[in-house]
Amino acid sequence: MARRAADLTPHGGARPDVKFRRRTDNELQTLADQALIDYIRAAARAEDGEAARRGLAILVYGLTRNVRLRVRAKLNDGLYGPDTVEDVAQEAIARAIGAAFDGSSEGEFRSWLNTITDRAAIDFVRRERKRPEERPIPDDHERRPHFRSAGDHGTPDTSAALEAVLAAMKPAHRRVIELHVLEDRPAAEVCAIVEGMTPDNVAQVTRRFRLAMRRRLDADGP
Amino acid sequence: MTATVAQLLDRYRREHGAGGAADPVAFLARAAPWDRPELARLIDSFLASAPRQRFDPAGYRGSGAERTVERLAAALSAPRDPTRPRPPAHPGGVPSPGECQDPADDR
Repeated sequence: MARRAADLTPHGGARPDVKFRRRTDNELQTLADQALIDYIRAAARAEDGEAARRGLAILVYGLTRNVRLRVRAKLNDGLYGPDTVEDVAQEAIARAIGAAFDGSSEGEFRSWLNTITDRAAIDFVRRERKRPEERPIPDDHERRPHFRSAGDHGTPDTSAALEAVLAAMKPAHRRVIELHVLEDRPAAEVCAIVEGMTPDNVAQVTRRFRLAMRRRLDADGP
Repeated sequence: MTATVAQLLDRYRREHGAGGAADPVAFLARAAPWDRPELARLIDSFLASAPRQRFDPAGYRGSGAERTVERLAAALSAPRDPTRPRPPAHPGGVPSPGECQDPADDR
């Protein structure tokens, strides 16, 4: 029996024996991340490069905004511009999707992407710290407002509370607060400076610090 | 007076949902210094699970996303090294829906 044109690849070869049906853009938009990845893989197995590329475009473009915003929050100390943030974000997306394709990713795709994004931000900051002489000089207007010391922002009450809370902390935790809260450095950078710290540790230490500050300020009263 | 963490998070979510800039750095700057790490954590959690942005052909053309797609598409279409074992169709060893049926049918 003669093959139908639809059964042939653009080069005239027989299509692999894989059932694949193209979906419209609207249908692809509504697919969950993993289902969209499965669709792209199915398109690639069926050697339908155009459909695979379309699925990839919808996936990558769709993820970019949120990953870019996450990276911006993690990197920003006024030193890195939008191109750098975009590069780190795209690298994270490419690595996460690449791992999903080759089977080396772990668990649910979005969790894996978030993990890769966190690592990409930390790796970037570590690399940058190794070559401080190449870092650009920040524009003052780009820097977010810092809280370098209690005297910069705090009332006398706040300053006293801050000193008391810091004095009660372990040295490593105090260092985390100095860097992350008082100097406003991103968690990724704090992890690169304070040995053994992870982003989760930084979040935990700062949460405890915040509660301690609230308690102290409430206790002191108006 | 600075806004509370809950107020700022709510405003952030609304701006993000409306397609605004939703710049986390600008929102963090509005919080009290000791509230910033908590707000950063909450914004990060929100972004980590927020839905994908709708595809916009004009925004896509010439973007970083387009370059990433080119890179991934090239890797997908590259001939496999026959000496390498084929990875499982699904990381968990479960057949991928895309291999035997349409993924959308699985939802």
